[in-house]
Amino acid sequence: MRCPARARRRLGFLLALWGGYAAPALTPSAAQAQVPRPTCESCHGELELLRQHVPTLEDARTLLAPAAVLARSAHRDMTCADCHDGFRRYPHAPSATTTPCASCHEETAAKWEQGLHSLDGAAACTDCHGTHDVMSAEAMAEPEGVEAMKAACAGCHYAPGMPESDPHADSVSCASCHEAHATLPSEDEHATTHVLNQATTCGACHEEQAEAWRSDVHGQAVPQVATPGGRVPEGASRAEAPACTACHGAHGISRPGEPGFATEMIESCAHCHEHYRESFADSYHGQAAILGSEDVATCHDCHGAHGIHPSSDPRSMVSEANLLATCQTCHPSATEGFAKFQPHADHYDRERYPYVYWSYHLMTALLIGTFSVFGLHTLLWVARLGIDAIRGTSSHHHDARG
Amino acid sequence: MSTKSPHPAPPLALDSAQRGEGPYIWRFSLYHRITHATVIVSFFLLVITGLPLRFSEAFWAAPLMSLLGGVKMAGLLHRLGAIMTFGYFGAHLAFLLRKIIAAPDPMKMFWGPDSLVPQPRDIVDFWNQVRWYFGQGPRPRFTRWSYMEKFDYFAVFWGVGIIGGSGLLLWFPEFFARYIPGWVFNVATIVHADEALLASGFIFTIHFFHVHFRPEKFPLDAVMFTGRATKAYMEEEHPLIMDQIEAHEHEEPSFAQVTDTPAPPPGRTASLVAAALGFAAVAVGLALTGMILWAVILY
Repeated sequence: MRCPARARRRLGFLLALWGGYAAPALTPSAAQAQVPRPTCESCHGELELLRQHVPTLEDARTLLAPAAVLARSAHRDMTCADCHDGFRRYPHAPSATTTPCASCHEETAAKWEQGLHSLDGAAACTDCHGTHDVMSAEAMAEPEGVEAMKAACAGCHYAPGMPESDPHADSVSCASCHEAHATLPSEDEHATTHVLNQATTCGACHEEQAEAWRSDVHGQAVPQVATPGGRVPEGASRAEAPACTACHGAHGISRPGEPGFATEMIESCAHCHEHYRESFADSYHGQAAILGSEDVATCHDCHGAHGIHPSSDPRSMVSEANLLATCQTCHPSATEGFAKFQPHADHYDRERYPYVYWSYHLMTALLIGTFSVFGLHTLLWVARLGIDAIRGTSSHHHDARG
Repeated sequence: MSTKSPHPAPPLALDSAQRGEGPYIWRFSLYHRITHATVIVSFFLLVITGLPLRFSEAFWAAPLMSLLGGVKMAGLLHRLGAIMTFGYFGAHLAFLLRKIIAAPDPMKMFWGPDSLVPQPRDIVDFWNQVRWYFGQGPRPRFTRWSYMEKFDYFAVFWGVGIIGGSGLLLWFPEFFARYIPGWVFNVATIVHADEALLASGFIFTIHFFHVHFRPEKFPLDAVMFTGRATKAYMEEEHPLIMDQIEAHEHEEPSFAQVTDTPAPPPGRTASLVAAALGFAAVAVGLALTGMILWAVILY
């Protein structure tokens, strides 16, 4: 808090100056000395008064700085002149300018320079922080501050927005994830939201999950996938590297265990693992899950969420050593044989799932065969009766009998 | 055989089993009718609760599931349908056993014109039917059961065995997995679903056409609900058995549960209830067929 101290020193200096020569100039007579000295507040605290001196109401509002607003500002201990040094005299000199925020907030300004908001004056300090009602960093972390920031960011970034259903909506500010001053788009690898940095950003709160993810199959793949020239699995793109947001999304995240979470996750996994979604949808687990059942196992119940490993890895929940225990979380009396169930049996894969392949194809043949024979039997029956009706001949057997 | 009911109700034109002139004869006993009604109710219960799973990605699957009260409730109703199915199936086996023991000539159950067992004459009938389609001969004349009816009857045995067996495996996987490897459940899932699709598709198209939609029967044949049909109906549908009945009019009825005895015409209320049930079943069946076709074509 170096600034208020400096500001107070400067205030002392200014008062000395004012006492030295400004006062005699402003008090030509004893009668006038009775009138209270005009202050900044005298003009800038009154909208109506300001309006008489400026062309539009909008201009008047910009110049308005009532004491009540200043009192709840983070800068409440400072004087007007600390920022508006050049405006001390009235009438104000046309060349007068406001002191840049950077003169006190050097580090923050330097960060802002690195971010996208500094580009072509996209968003300057006051665009987000306001002017005379500027909030402290501490106040910004309070619910009221979170709301204020959401409103400020939404001024430009009205899409995608933060749905109220998102668990972060009330408690986490935009800046918590997006970095307040060096704000960069998530495609930029210095961005806090870039796939390479998401685990650090989200991990600030979700430490356990981030740690498990770092060593799992997704965490290991991300640096490769995200690096230009790295190997990208078929059907995936570099931007879809499976860091936090690839599965959870960013704005509108669902809370685990809430209705709809499981189905959403199935779609997230299927984004890259479509083949496994299809075979899963053929099983009771998949069918019931698609229809909204919260009781059946979905992807993460068997594979884990943040510690996913290939089945060949002994750490995997579906490794040979752990599979039965994984089944037993829902099916307590499951045995070795039970765990031989194939939750992703593909009925087109004869090599891996011969029994499933053959039963699927034999059943299909049985259906096609039965419906063909009886369908034809029925259609010919209709045709015969139709022909007889047109010809006017009855087809009943007693005619034939006679 | 001729009888006149003292207070004949006017025949219900919608029911093709009441076509033409009386008198009526019994074709299905109360036991048969209750069994068939149980088959209808349990079958629809199973199809409606099972179909959304089979076509879970069809547009109608999720709404139907929530209409049923969710996946869990549908699962319970499906198991209720299964219990009804095993119930009527077991009861029918007991019924057959009792009949074999009680029948004066049990061999007639397994062979001959009264038997439901497929016989060479069914192949001949089928061949004559095909010849008739192409104008190469007269329409075959059936005995007590046409080859289509025999197929329907044994399809239930086959269906309950295959679908019921695989369903039981999937109902108690932990138990059965102690004795069989897990991949059997993969096979059971496929067999259960596809065999069920075969059964429902067959009932809702082939069976419905043969029983209700062909011109002689349209719009409904309620003989399985009222249990009786007119002589005119029997002479068209089962001419040989009518010949036999007329030839042996004064002899004892055959072993068959169908007593071939004169029946009073069905009452007006019974006829209307039977027609309402029949039309409801047909309507639901056709709606389900539309849903199946939609899903099969699009997915």
